[in-house]
Amino acid sequence: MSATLTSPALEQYEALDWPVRTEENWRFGAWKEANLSGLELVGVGASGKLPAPLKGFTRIVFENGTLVSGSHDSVELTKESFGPVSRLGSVKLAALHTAKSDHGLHIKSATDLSIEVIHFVSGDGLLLPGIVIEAQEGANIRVVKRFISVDNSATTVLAATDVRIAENAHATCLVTQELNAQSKFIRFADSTLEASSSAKLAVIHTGAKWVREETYATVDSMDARSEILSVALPTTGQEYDQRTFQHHGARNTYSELLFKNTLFGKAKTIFSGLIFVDEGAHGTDAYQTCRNLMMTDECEANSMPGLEINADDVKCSHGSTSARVSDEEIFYLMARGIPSKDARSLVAQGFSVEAIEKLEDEQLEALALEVVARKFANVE
Amino acid sequence: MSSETATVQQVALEKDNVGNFSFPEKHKFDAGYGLTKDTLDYISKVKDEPQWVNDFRHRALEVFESKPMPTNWATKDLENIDFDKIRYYLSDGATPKRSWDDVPPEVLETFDRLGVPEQERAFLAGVEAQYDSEAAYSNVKEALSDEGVIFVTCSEGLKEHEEIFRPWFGKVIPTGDNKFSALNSAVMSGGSFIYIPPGVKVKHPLQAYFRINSENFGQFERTLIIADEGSEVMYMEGCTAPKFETATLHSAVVELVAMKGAKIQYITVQNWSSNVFNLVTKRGLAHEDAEIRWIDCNIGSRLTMKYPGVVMKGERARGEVISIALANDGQHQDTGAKMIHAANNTTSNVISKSISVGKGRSTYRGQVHIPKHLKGCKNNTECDALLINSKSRTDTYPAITVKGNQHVTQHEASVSQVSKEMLFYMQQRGLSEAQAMSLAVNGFVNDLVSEFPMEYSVELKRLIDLEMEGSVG
Repeated sequence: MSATLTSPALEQYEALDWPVRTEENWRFGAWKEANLSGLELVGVGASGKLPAPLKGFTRIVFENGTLVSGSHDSVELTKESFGPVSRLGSVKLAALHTAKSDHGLHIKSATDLSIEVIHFVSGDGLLLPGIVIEAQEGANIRVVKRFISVDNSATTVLAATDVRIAENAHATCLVTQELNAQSKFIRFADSTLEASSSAKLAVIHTGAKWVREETYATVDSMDARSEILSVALPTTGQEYDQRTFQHHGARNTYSELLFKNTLFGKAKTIFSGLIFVDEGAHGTDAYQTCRNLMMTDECEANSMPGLEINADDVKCSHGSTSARVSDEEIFYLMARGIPSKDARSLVAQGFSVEAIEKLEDEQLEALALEVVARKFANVE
Repeated sequence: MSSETATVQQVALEKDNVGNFSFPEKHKFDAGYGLTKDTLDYISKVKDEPQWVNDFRHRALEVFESKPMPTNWATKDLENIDFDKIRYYLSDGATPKRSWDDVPPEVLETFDRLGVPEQERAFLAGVEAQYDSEAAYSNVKEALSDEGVIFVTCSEGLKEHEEIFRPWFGKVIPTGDNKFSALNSAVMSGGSFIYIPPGVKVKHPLQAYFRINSENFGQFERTLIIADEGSEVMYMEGCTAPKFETATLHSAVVELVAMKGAKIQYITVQNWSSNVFNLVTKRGLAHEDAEIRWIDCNIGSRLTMKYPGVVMKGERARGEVISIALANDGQHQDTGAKMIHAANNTTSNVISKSISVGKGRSTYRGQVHIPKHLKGCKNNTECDALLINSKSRTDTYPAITVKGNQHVTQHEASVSQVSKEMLFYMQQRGLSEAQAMSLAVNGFVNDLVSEFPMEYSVELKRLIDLEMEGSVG
């Protein structure tokens, strides 16, 4: 079976070109990093220290491509890629996933479900995990995915997520990227929503030397609501490149995007987002906000918030800001006996919390805060 | 639906009628169709240019030919420009007249109908009126020339004031900046050269009026304005063309240099007919404490691509772009701003408002750049779009790069439409739906319109009214 799917996919992958500098989708981006030619798949993985379990969640653990523990009736282990599509500039990388991925999960449920997937990542080379999350009519699904390095090797993780939500269903998906500073992390995150459904897709980035993330939210059924959230905390030697697309294709749809970047050291971030409203998608409500908190004099933030509106009777806005922690806030906290370094950290963490709170799920919020706090403890 | 279309067409006609008339061509000098090295030599010969200008043109042509069309990010409509079917130089001689009495009767009548001599008497300090490739008339009030103000055509500038002109010419916008700045550098003719001596504050605006009279013609004016230390100047340009069946090209390059503490305001009211490709490169260089403001209104043309920029090179320099765009059926207003911060404590402000009517498309494209090791830079960008009909379209593509934590930037954009409640409220009070719509649109741009000089803002409101009529149905 895999032969029939993989062979043409391999041919297609080989026929395509790696990203080049002149592509608009790679503006400001490190297009050279995306060239993964010559990279072999990683070998057998190693185990790591398991984090405290989340109450009520079924835990599934991977060591590289191998499932080592956990199972659930609604979770099927797959042996090939679901075939991600890149619409934001990385067609070759998507084809690479389709051609070579040999493991993934398919979560499908008509009832409420909470799953936690831990990916222990190790070894030099390429790892290609994939996941499909299908929330069937009326279901409420929560999925946590954590990518954790267990050694110091340079692993390139090329991950793909496809979230499909049926009528009246809801899904919350939180991804934490906690790789080591030698690794690369590339991710395709697609979501499609049917009528009256809703989704919250959140990601926390603390690790990796280079991140490229392409999030494509399709909101083309009446009364669908999509939220995209991100908290990124890069420091020296880390570059995060996040591209998003909010595609509205039906009446009375809603989407909101909130990205919070806190930049330390010589970090660099790129945010490129587009709200696209089809002809006839009247009554669209779409928002997009990217905020950069600049912690040092050497960090760099690039923002490209975009709109393309082809319908009227819409409410769309985007905003992008870059600034540092205000002196007044630091003064206020210092006047109450908090040292300036702690004050800065406190304000910066508070800045991230604004996005985390939108998860509206205590357990997931607590986990997100824990990952964020760990990064804060390690910088400056 | 058909009656609505008919009204829209009627209104479009009326709007275009402001400049929709032409006289038979009587050109002494005509470079013919198409662009070759001979075209450049012909222009140089007619204008009796020094060798360095001719060399400059030839280098530019090479750059133009080597550069691809920027369709990787811009509209594919650019591919419809056929460079071989354009006439690059048409004139009656390169020397402008100093008195309207000496201007040929049909040219005089043209500018009379456009109200230029009348405005000159009323409130302008100096006027240049360009007819196809060259200025037909150029004059500045005596009091100003006594103070040392130079306001001449670009060709006169490069010949008679080479020592001031040459050091800055092509420095703000190099030939290779983009394909169309290279094209302009190769075939430039007309445009103004202005020099304001230190400390001179020109109270009344200087004006240039650009007029295309001939079909299949490309206008490539080149303007350089230098405001020396502590001086101030306001420059206004207007433009019209008759509506021909074929596409016409207007590709200008405008360079501004504001020395220490100088202020330049550059005001444009663009009302080309809807067959004109308007592809313009405009940039200013602001030294210490200097201020450059671009106040830009785009109502006409088929496709406008224009992103006025300010390079803030000196400390505390300030750049500003205020922009109004109105895109009706068959029009694409692709406008924006470029703010390059290159010194400490520089500030920039961009306010853009666009209105899309019928099948019109308006686009905001912006760039803000704050490089490393600077401090205290601030940028504020606001772009608001108003959509009138269900087929109207609007896009926003800003790009903001900030390095370091000593700066503040904010960007905000919104898209909205005139609310039904607002229209209902006004109709309750006896306004027709069209009047109500017109009032709402004028309200939307009102705070920006007031940035234009009085004489222009009245005209602007009238143009917007004309565009809006018949747009609801």
